[in-house]
Amino acid sequence: MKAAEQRRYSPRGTVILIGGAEDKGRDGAILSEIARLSAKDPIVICTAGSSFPEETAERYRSAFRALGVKSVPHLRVRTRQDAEGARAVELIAAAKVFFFTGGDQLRIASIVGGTPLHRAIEELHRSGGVIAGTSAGASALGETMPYSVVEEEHRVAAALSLAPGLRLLNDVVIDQHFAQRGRLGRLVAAVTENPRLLGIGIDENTAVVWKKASFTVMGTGAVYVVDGHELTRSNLGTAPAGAAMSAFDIRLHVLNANDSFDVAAGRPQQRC
Amino acid sequence: MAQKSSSRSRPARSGSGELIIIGGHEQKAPEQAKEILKIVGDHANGGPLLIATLAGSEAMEQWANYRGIFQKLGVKKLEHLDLEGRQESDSDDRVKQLRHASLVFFTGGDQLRITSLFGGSRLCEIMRERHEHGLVIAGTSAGASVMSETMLVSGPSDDSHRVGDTLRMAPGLGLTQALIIDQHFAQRGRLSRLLGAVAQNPRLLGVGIDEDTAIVARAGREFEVVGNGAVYVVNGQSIAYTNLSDSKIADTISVHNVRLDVLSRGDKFDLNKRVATHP
Repeated sequence: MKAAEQRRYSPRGTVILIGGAEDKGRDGAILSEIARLSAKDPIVICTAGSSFPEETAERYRSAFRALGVKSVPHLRVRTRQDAEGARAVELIAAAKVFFFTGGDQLRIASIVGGTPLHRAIEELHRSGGVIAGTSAGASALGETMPYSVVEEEHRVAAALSLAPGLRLLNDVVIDQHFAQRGRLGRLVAAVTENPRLLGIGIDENTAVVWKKASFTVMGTGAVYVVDGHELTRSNLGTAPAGAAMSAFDIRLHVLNANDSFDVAAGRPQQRC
Repeated sequence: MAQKSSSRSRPARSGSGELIIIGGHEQKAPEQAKEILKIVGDHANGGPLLIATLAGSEAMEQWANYRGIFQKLGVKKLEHLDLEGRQESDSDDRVKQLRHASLVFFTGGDQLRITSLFGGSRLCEIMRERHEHGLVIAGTSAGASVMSETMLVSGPSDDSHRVGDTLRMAPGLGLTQALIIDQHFAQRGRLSRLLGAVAQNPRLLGVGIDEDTAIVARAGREFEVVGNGAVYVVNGQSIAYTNLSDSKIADTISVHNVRLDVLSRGDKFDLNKRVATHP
């Protein structure tokens, strides 16, 4: 998207970011909500990030069918040519919900980024549709996404790697399986590298439902918001590679399913 | 520097001796630099450095291992403190040992074993009193956690904290009344349990210490970070809302507006102002 377009990009749709391992049974609140939002229109399952596309697609297809969704087409995207084909665009034109499964976020971004499929996803978002992603599929929807292999502790310039995401949401970096995989260090590092980005860490079976400039939390876990706007010091630019990270004055919010967050104001709200 | 006036009239405050609180897995191998144990050894000032293997796991091996390391680091006198049972903590030999020690070092294992064996004993009271007057106390892993007034014993480290959850705390040795310590911090993903502990009472400052990393706390005024990892400081004073007391059991916790500082080698934290500083 060019800069001028970016300024005009004020989507009416919803982005749903899931921290992975969501309940796929009929009581699963997150997939139920997505099924409800599809309003009987098709849900396109895109397995661009997955190493086992058929199995993954089948699990979501049966889950959504059990929740009453009739049409759950599988968009199997293995190459950029696949993402440039007419089928992808046609499937989206008929759908209300586009769903990225998990796997590898770098694979999603490198295959889908900048293709006609990417533009069709943005168009669906702009016109009021729902773009959802779980695990790697959630991270890929942010402006910048983390993909480091070493998660346990952050060392300056070593462990953390960031890559441009599909940017359905501006100014955010999204991490998933958050408490389960102890990913605080890498999210703090990502935010510290540029505090313009708001860090959002989502637990498993937990989701963020994002509309315009605020989001609500659903599911059984917590969502961690890492806000670096008041950061007073960081050593990421100056310390030698291999040094441990320093970052002073980070604001942290832990939100559960009763909470929402006003992104514009940078403040959480308790809903009930 | 010593706060002598306070030591008799009320229970031990954060004493005037230093505390060296280590997040576990400090370097010990022959080829490694052993920065943290060197700092401990230097504070022992020749000794006797008393190695307390009260946390249970492989006491004799721990003693032999640490003795060898500290000897190589130039500590001349080393002694071993282990207790068969609480009765032994009254013995004159043990008391004499502690009275002569220049530094006490608590090894890792199970923090509840340390407190149940040693807490409130004559020996422990002598140690606390000597700490008030300058005795340096060091501890790693479980030996680090026991230094707090209230210590973390167990809790979820691979999930978010839930209201009424399995977060288990117990009274510690009370060497610091301002901090609640967790160790192996980034390595075991322990943010949520430390957050749960801090949200229960934000009077306590949560300090999560990575492996091969330590804080050197001075007289309850400030601490400095040493070693190769990071130290996470969870400050709950600014908390605007938490559901801990009013939610249903098993609800995920919600905590708004926590302040987090991540510190590495050389960074300091002022415990009165609760601000991190960089030299």
